[in-house]
Amino acid sequence: MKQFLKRLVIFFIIFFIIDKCFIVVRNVSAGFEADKRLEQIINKQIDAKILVFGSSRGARNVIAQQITDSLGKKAFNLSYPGSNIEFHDYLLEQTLKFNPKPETVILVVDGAFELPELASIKFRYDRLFPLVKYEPVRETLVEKGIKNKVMMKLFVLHQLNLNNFLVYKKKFSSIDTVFNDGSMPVSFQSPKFSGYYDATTHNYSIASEDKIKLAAFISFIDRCNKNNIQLILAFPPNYFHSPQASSDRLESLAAGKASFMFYDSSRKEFRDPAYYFDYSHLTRKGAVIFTEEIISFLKKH
Amino acid sequence: MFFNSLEFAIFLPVVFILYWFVFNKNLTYQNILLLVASYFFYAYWDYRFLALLFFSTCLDFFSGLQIESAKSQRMRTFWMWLSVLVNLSFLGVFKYYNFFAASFADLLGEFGVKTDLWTLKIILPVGISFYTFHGLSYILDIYKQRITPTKNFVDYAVFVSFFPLLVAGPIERATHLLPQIEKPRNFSLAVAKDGLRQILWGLFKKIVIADTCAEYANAAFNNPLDHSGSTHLVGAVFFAFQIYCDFSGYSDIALGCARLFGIELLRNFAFPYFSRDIAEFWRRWHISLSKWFRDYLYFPLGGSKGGTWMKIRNTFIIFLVSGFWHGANWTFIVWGALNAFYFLPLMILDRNRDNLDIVAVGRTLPTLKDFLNIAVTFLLTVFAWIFFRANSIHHAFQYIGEMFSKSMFSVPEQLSTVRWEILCVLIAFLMTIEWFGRENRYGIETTFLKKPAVLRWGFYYLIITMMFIFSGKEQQFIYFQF
Repeated sequence: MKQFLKRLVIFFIIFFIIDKCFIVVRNVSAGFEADKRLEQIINKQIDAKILVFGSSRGARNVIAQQITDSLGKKAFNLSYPGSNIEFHDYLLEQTLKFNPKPETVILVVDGAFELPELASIKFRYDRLFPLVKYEPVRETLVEKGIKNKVMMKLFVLHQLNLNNFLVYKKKFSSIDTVFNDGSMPVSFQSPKFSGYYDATTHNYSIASEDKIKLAAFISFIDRCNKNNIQLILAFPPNYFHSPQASSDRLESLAAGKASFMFYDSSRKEFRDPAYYFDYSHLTRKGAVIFTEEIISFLKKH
Repeated sequence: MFFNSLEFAIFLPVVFILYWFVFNKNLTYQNILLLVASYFFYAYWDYRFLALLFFSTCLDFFSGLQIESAKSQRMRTFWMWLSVLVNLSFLGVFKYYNFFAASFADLLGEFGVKTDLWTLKIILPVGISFYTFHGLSYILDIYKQRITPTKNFVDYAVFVSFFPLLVAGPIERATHLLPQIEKPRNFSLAVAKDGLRQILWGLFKKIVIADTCAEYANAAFNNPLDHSGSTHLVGAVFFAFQIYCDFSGYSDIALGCARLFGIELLRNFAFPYFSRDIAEFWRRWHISLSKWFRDYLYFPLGGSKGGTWMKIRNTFIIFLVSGFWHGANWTFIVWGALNAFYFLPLMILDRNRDNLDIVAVGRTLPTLKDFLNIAVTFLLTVFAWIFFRANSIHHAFQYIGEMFSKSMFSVPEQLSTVRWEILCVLIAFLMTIEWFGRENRYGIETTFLKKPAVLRWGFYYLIITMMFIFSGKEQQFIYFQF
């Protein structure tokens, strides 16, 4: 019995020592990342007057540099492909926590996909794990219930996940290049994009909305409101029919606390497949036009 | 308190130390400790259902004594039926009432009769299907005079509520577990080490494989119209591994924990995905439930002694009841029926006992025939799991329809934080370990056991490291809902 406990203690002491060696992995993993934007937020390096949040629609359809050049105010794009409103809200929270307050926030919404549960857009934990050397990131992982606080204090390994072990210098691919302004426009079309306009009418159901996303959406609006930040909810074009009910729903949730900016559906460019990367994203030349519309909206408001 | 939680990581050593260091001199005290610990463990889930567990335990204990002391056969039968019916009533109300009420209302609706649904907002008590079956086996064994009832209430209560098996089995028999509870237990270093190894392997299966597969499978099943055929296929295969690793992982942890207290529980899994036909699969999957149904339903119905039609009838009854045991949903019944259809040709051709041995015993690799049989059996099982996982029959057919589409041969989509290719590597790792350990009771029972300690411990550290890396949100075990 005593022998059993003795061996168990030795086993765990050795494990405890081995575990501490993984501090090296934890500390170097941030350096291998190509996209540095979240790290810039934590390191207080975001100093823009206009910030853009969103998923891939925000990243590809809005060119922050164009806004900077046109308005003379620094704009920066913090949109992450595959991210949901919960992640956008987290980014905004962290930005306000560590950086100067922006004057304007543009949230590029996913229309009918903004609030329903969807596997393709989620909270990007994979973006957080390479940065676990930073205390605020660890705190978030605990808050979100991904990791246990006590275990994190005891074991370095508990702070890590598979992303930390991909210890090679990441490179941008042609589809996910983050430019200096944080935007990710693309100049080519997806081979999967047929150019056929899908006019199928889909109904929007409030019942399909995810409670966490709904709460995050309201939190995002309130956060801007409390900090006296002008909030613009921007609706980019799609190459398929998007239900009006979804934008009505977002407008009712915003309850007058945000301005709504819709793309000009009468423009012939937005009906031309040549301006689209795929069904829900524009190419760079499409993004330039949509960004122009945002700029004129900002000038008016 | 999940087995894969920090709370359990504290609870288990505390009970272990009290058991062997404080109460080791007295069997009664040890059993009282196990009982208190088990009730605490259960109350941690939901203390409101402790009364139900306690009532069920009291009923079966006193019914058992009454059956034994009854002067007439009529009174024996009365006490047996009283216990069986009350137990099944609890199960019926908590687990099946809403299903029957809704199905009845649907049936009336077919005839144009509109009814208000009399469904109730009932929470299913954790483990009710398991502890009810423990109690039933005890009563039925006393009635059949296979055992004599215990006169010690604490011993019986430990038999019903022993924490490793309380919420998801294995479904124990009084003939197997009660004698172990009644006899003094001595600490064995080899058994305790073996128990820890089994716990480690169970945790690996749960945390690394099941929970990681779950993320992909959930995404595939939750939005069946959004994904390609190949994504559905991968989602179904990952669900097959999720449910295997979730449930067999739980069973490994349960068996390992019990071994730490000097108690051997019934084996629940025997590498089912290496089965060469469906009959073999059912001898290797959830063994304690299969044997329960065999002994208390199949044999009393006449088993396979009658003619072909009787065999077919009994087979269908067993599989349908087994499906229904899992949950009050038509999907489980169809899953059971599908398995009965798979089983039927083997039984009619008298081939259901062809594969009683372990595949490729004494060899490194299986023969081509064995390999093909394993692959076909696995694919049949994966197909049946779609019904098990789906929310409704319509959902299952929708999923299957999308799976067998043109895009079945495209590259699967990435639906989870861990890429599906990495998941395949993890599954390959699991299956390799289990293949080489298939002649043992669990995957790593003898892995590196005769190798130097450095290699053996290195392997354990590797497994623990993987568990840490893949650990995310605590995921409930699937079988807790049954």
